[in-house]
Amino acid sequence: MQAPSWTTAEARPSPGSARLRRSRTWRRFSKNRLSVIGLAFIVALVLSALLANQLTPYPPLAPNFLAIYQPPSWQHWLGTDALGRDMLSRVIYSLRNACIVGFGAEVVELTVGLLLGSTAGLIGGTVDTILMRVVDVVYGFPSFLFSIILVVMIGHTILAILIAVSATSWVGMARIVRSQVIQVRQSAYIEHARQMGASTWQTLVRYVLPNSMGPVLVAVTFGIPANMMSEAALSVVGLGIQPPTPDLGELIIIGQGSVLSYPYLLIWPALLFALTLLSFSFVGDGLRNVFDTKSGR
Amino acid sequence: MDLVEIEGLRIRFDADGQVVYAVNGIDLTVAEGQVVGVVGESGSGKSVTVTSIPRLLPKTARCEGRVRFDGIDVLNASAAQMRAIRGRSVGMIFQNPLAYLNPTRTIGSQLMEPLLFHHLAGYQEARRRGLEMLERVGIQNPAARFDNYPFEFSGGMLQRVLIATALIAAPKLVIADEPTTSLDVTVQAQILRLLKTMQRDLKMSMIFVTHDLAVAAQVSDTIYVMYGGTVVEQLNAADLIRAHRHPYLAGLLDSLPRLDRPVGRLPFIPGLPVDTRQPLAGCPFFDRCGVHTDDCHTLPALTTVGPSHRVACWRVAGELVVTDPTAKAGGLSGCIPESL
Amino acid sequence: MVRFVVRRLFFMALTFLVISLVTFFLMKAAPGSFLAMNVGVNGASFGADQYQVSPQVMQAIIRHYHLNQPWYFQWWGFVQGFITLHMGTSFEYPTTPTMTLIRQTFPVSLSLGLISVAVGLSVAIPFGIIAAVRTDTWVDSAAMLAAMTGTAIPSYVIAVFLILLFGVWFHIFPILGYQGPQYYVLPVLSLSIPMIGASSRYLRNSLIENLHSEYVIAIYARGGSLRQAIFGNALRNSLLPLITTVGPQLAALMMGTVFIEEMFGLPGMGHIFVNAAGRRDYPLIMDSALLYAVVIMLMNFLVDIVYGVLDPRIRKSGRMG
Ligand SMILES: Nc1ncnc2c1ncn2[C@@H]1O[C@H](COP(=O)(O)OP(=O)(O)O)[C@@H](O)[C@H]1O
Ligand SMILES: [Mg+2]
Repeated sequence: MQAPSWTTAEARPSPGSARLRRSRTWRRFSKNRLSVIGLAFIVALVLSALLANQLTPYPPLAPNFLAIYQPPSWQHWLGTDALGRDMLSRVIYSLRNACIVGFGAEVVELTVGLLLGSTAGLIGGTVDTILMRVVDVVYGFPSFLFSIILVVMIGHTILAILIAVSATSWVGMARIVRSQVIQVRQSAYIEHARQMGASTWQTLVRYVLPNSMGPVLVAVTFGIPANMMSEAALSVVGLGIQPPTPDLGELIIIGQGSVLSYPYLLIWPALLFALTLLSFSFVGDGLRNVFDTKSGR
Repeated sequence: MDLVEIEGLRIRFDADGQVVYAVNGIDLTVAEGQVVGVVGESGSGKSVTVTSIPRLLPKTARCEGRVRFDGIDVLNASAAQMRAIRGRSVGMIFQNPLAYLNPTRTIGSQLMEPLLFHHLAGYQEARRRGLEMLERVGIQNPAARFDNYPFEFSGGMLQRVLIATALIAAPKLVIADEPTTSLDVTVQAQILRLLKTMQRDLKMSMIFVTHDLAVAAQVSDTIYVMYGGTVVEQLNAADLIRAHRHPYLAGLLDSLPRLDRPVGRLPFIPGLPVDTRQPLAGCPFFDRCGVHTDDCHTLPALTTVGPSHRVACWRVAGELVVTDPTAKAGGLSGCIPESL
Repeated sequence: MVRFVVRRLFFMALTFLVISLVTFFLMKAAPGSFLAMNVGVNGASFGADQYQVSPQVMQAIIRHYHLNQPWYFQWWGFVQGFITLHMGTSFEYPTTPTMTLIRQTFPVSLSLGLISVAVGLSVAIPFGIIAAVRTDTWVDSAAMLAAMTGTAIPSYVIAVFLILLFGVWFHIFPILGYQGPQYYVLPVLSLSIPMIGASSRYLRNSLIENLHSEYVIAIYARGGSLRQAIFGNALRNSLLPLITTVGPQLAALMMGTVFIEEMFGLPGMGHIFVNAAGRRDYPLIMDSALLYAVVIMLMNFLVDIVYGVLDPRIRKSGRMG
């Protein structure tokens, strides 16, 4: 309706238009300042996961019986646990595990979701019906119980947990991709491309996927913390990554056990985990502002 | 004193620093029992003007000027005072009846609301009068339809329900904002006839908003022609063809398809509608007017040129009368299938 | 409506069978059996000869649990037992039918779930209304920030903060075990806070949308007040779609009871299930997994029926889902 001046600049392709679009994306994203803070936190998180070996002041597994249950100090920022292990190092390694499972399982979900969703959406007909029935049935699974059974069956390695976490959560992605594909496919310009003789595969790669990226990216941003939650939840019930490998769920359970005497063992892992999850949520909201053309005025 | 007196009304919308100048100084009066037609193209400020009378504009609206209804200073009245008027002294009929009814409640329960909200009747009495009203607006078997939901009605039937709702408390004024625009042509004529009959029977005043000059001419006593948030001409419906003076109105009449003229080119008024993001400087029709002068850079005032005939145009004020040589009395008949 | 119910029931049956099959095969495919894992340690429960189970005893055990039968026989045995409520006995507790274990523990889990939903909704609805009516005030921002935090953080992390706040710093509520209603407070809060977050935000947005819709303007035009617009109309129309979100939330919440029970030491079914999974107690894994699945499906089904009955557009046209 009332077009702000930049749309006129964008209508004509000019050398500056790509930059304009980028700046518009950034402006929409950063409209909520929490999104920017969340993004910064995630960047710091990923960096610390990558550089965990260099960053951590102490090895996370090495006990030090001369320094058990030390409160936070300059030597041990977050204190030490019952075996004198440095909590900061343990938290950093736990967050690294959470990241591996969070991002890794999301890659699995994305792959399966993209494959099944776009197959169903593009081919349609019986294939679509069957695939969507499968999705409906899996959707009815008690997902967390299923992950537990899987972990028990496959083992407690990071890879097993990754599989267990993504085993049922791909259905959401498949649904989103399918509805996006159908929506884009029905739009006029795909019709045009098809009439110009583009094959199904070409339309998928050249037109449909790039145009359905927005909601998928938003779903990914919310999917990663969901995976992290499932991963930690498995260790909360004692069926996740096995000790002594540090894990957020395990830190929480152990911290809870001694919460009356040593509350700092519980506070810091829980707080950092909560901040991590919140950051993803804020970034997801920011991305939603970017892609949501309806309410993104 | 007239029932509605609007003087120098200006309305702008101010949301997030984005200002829209919707109405730029309007004078309008409605006498008791009179039907006033408000005509103008989409975006000319018709709806905003008339919804200011029951003060139903969104919170972002800023009003200046004076609006009096039945002796009440509407723009300064208390919320309770306004609630007491709405539905009881002013009834409203909207363009899209389906949207203006709650989809999850029966039409009967919504029909009775004006009576119940104002404690004009108890439930039993309200229901009786509701059924009676449905009958009057031409709903067959009202007792069976009373407990039906909006989605079970056609558009024309819903508009009848909305009319019944607006009139059930016998208001002094009914405001119909493009009541037939969303309906089929044949249904349009029925609804128009119904409205006109009800207005006469209940001896109400009516403000009838439309973008269709022909419809306005058939329903109204007086016509206000709006452009760019201003009234450009006000005249008796009977004088519309014969005595119209403003170049915009002349253009409008010229662009109507007519039976007394070969259909070849469909005339239209070239140019774009007014940019509502700027405050009005000068005559709103300036850009599209074929006969503008230097005077037209300032906003012309509504000037009386005859009995109940006022025009806002510098050329008219300067006695440069614009006439349409092809105009004939009665030339509008045939624009809608049935005359009233 | 009838067609809808039949279709849904058919789907539930199908899902049930698929879940039982998948669970069954996963259990079968798993390396290590209950016998291999536990006989040496917990053999006491199997008979007098604790430390050396003789081949005869082993055979007897295998026969007792039909472990020598073809897979479909075993599978159908589980399913049939579940449907007829004549479930077998657990490996772990051979003298106790799983039915008894479930009967002891399931009410704890179910009541935990239902109370949390009730608390969640009864807090979320007023929150959502206030945030919607006071849009863009600090009340709204605070409620929405709380909602966002509540939705982003899982119940077991919320449980941590509740434990610290009410159990450690203020000593108001007990944090472990089950000896009375006050032991329910923190678990219920942990489970309902995420729900409060999600539901109040949903209700707020939907209520705002409804309050700006044309039919509400029409109510004002008939002389109605904000109160009449909200309580007679807009709230009802926003609660209807909120009902549809309750189904999936219930599912998430029932899953949440598993680790919340574990954290607060509540003797619920989640605890039983986790133990059973850890020890490969097939009958118990199977029965509790199926029970969770059935409960979640039934709740979803009920929620959809309630929605269909309350929304006249669906009730009258009979189209649903
Ligand atoms: N709520 C609103 N916020 C901002 N602008 C508005 C609003 N309502 C109407 N307008 C603007 O006011 C002008 C007049 O609108 P309206 O009275 O609805 O025109 P019409 O003559 O078609 O009924 C238009 O430019 C419209 O965009
Ligand atoms: Mg209008």
